[in-house]
Amino acid sequence: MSDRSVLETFAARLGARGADFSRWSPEHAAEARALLVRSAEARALEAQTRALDDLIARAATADVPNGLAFRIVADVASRRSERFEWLLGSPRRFGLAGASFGAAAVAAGVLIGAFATPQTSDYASAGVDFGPALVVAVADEDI
Amino acid sequence: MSAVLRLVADSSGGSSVAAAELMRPDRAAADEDDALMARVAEGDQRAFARLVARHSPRAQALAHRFTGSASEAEEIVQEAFWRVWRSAGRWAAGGAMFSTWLHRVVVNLCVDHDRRRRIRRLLPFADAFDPPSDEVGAERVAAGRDEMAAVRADIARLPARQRAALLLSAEGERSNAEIARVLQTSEKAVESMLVRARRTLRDKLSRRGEI
Repeated sequence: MSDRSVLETFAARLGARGADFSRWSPEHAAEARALLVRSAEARALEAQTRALDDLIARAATADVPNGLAFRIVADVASRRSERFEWLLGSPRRFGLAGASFGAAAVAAGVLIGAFATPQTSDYASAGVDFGPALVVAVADEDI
Repeated sequence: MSAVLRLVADSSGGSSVAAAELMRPDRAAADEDDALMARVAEGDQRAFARLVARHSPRAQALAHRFTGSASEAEEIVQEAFWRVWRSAGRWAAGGAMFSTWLHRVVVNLCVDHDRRRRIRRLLPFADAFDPPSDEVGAERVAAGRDEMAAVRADIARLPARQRAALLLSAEGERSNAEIARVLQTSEKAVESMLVRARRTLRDKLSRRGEI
């Protein structure tokens, strides 16, 4: 492998894992340390990456607001309480909705029944095609 | 509940709540998290408070740097812990580490938040919906008076997944394989995101003469 391609590989590993060799595989870290001894260009690359890593690490820190954990637990308690109250109120809510739905269903049923119920109990004259099958089934039961 | 709140208040009083102890991403810490999740599944509020105390600082920092806003970050972290509470019954101990799963939830919420924010910006009166970021303004960044604010602004402009990968990597404790598990992608994909994110930042810093 030429020095150029060794340096390119080193630069690619620096980009992927940073300048902290503890994040590298032991084999790659050993290669990198050997390269740093003999190559000024490698040392410059490593120094630049280390400076960038330090900057990123400092930029990534953030103060933890006081009372954060307290507020998180309080938030979860509040959500649990809301859910519990919602469930407690459910029978009433569903009762009202159920009654409304039931009344509407009964009214619709009466209307449909008035217009769609056959005027005769004769299945054939009512034109209901499952009539004969039902008659046969009832007849079978009788047997 | 008040006892639980007191417990959390005590443990969150200082922002450096035994950070090293809270953040160990090793198996022992993961086992402790599994045990706490098992208790949370039984409705143990103290165990939940303990999980919050252990993991909320890191989740908050990640969300803060992702969104650029402490208050929006807190909303995201609250939502994430609400999901922890609701999902505890389905938690499988010994599988994925709790911290990995929590950070996956936080990152997904952050990415969703980012998407909604970009959509809102297309709407008329977008400013009325978008709370101001608590970072410094563009003019100050352009003037180069605050290098750290400038770097944070650069990070905030990275594509969402690159930003998440970079911020997770910047914590310094996660391997790329672990970051890949958080982002639900391959290690190669994470490496590619990190290469592109670092290149973008290096170019911007270089243009400003900061590196």
